[in-house]
Amino acid sequence: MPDDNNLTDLSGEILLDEENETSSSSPIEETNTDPASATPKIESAEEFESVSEDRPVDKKTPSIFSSLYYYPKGIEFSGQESNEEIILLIRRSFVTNIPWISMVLLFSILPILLIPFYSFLLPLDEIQPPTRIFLLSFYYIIIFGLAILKFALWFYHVSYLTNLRIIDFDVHGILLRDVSETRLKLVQEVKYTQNGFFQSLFNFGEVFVQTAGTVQNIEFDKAPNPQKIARIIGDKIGRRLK
Amino acid sequence: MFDTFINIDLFIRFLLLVLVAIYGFFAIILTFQINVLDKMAHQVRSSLTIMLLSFINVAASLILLIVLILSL
Repeated sequence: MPDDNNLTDLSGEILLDEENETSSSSPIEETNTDPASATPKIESAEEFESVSEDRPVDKKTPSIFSSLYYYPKGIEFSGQESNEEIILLIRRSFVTNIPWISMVLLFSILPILLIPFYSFLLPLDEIQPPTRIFLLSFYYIIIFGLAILKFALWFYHVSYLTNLRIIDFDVHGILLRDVSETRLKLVQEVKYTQNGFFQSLFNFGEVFVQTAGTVQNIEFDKAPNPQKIARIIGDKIGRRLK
Repeated sequence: MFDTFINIDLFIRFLLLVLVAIYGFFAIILTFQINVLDKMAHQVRSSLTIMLLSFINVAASLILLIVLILSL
């Protein structure tokens, strides 16, 4: 049943194949009216429902902040087979980065906020100006490094749906990661959950891919637009999510 | 009192030198691990940006380390 969710959410974008457009007209892209090659951008869930999920004519490279992308270009992963094509790129919703981004911004302006209290906190009279500059530089280098670490943990925590399998790269820490994969033919069921106010507000949740037998189940945690992901995977395995 | 003033400043610089050296070591590890993660899941242009930022992080810590050593 179509919903009112806009696909262009905070966390990413889904670009699908353009079909013979009849009514859609993007203000950004010039649409081609040729039925054989028309590729209008999908703007609404209703259009998503009616659009074929065939491979798009022009694949595009996702941005560095993309958390959901359909048929992305310029992506490779280890163990990728020669005839394997990535259909869906899934990361945790970008909204999940807000806590650490807020912390980084707060610590960045903290030295400015604490200016009136420096004389109480540090023996400034005994620290020469060059040393103060070194201290401040080191402080900001640490903040910068922390931001890079947090972003890399989000960026490389990624899952791919390909034409052959589902692969899940879980990065729990910079030195701790695990990889799960399952062939599409072993997938039995796909379901998703959205719990809580923030998940509903920002439209992200968990997608569970249940596999047959003793093969490990796969979970996409905090994935954006979980209902669309479940629907795409369900279509690929030949079942529609009820 | 003048001797105390110099000692505290030198002490802080020396302590900072040690901390920057330790941080530089972790920054190098971070860069290597990002490189390993990128081989696992590579994305054109975006991966290059992240690796460049990690190199900048290492370079900044090394520059600060060198400046601290020279200033002692």
